[in-house]
Amino acid sequence: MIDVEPLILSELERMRPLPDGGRADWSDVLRRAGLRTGYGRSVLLRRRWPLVAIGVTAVLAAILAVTPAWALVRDVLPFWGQPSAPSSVKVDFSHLNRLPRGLPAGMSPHAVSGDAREIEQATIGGETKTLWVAPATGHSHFCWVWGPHLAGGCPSLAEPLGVMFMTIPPHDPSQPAQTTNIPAHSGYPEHGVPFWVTGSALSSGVSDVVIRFSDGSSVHPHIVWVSAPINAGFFAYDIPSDRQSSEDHATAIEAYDGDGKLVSKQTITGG
Amino acid sequence: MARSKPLIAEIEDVYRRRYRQFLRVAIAVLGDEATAHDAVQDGFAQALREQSSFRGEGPLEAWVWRVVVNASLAARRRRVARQEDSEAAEVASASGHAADESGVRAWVSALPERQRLAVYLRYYADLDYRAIAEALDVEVGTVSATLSSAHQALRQSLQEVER
Repeated sequence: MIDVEPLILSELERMRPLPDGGRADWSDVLRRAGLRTGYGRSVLLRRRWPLVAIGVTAVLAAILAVTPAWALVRDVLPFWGQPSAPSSVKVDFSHLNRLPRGLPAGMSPHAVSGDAREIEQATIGGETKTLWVAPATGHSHFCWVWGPHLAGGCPSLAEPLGVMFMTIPPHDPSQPAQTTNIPAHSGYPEHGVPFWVTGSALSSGVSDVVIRFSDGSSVHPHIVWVSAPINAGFFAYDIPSDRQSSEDHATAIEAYDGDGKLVSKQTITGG
Repeated sequence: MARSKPLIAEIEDVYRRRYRQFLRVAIAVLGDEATAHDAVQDGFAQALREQSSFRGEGPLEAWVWRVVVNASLAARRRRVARQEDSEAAEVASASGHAADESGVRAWVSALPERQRLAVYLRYYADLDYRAIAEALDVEVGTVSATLSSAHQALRQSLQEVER
């Protein structure tokens, strides 16, 4: 009896070799599905508005019943719809799991580096940096990395606001402000003033973040809210160089809940 | 079934691992790469939109295959509908009859649609019988019988050529 399988295999291979995968584009699939990579709203609504209009009342009622209040008033980035992190970034996340010798293993954040996703890009000291976020299963439920080679952390679940800032020596207010460029391995002067503030806020407890300045003014940094399993918002603020002096600099970062009540505050010393 | 991660991430994994195989099968159905790529993209988008209809009774990848194969067949139907009668007839001939081809190519061309899809999924996508059954929404026994009779038909035609 003739074994036809090898013949079929070789002939089909000859007829139709495995094509090149260069056209693969997951973000295009998301777009076609009505899932935007940048924002959580669905473009499907625009394409099928008559259908949506019919069921909108019932759906809205169902959504109101099951959706947390914070999710109703925010654009929430769908975490799993974001681009996967490249290998180099996944390595950065795995480094976050390494604890200094002597610390108990229970303190590891257990960042799931393979699930890291790109969240946003920002200009920091004149350089474009990318925020990557990964779920975690240890003492935190997510970790973040600004890269390449900038900073990373895994905030505590107990704190609604996690803040990290970088400082430089304050410039003399009588002199023209200098443009800040982040050195490859910038130092963090003990008595410096912040030139860049970043952080995360838990979606369930925080609605707004405010950066206070020594002259009494304040700014509200834009927060990118991210869906489950992260359920947190991320912000980064590049402080203008004319606000990095001993007389005018950031002094505190505050988090407020939906009722405008202060839920967390981190004071910046130095200057 | 408890899932270790959200379905959308699993579908993305299938896409990233197997895009080339999906494209290959879609090209086999549609004939050209651009239309095939479009069908694969549409198929995966449909899988994302209809992920709640995946009941988890079989492998996710087989379910995605079903969606993408159906998207490819739908794309072919749309294209045929758009073409003039004469062109449509050419497409039907090219995809459904042996014409003057010979050997395996003729054998594949002459197979009924369902059998031809089973052959593509077996040899272009390297799916096992269970996954092919899921993808084509038929029983495993039907796949086995389909491929077996297809093999038998080819064996017979080759023996006739040898004589």
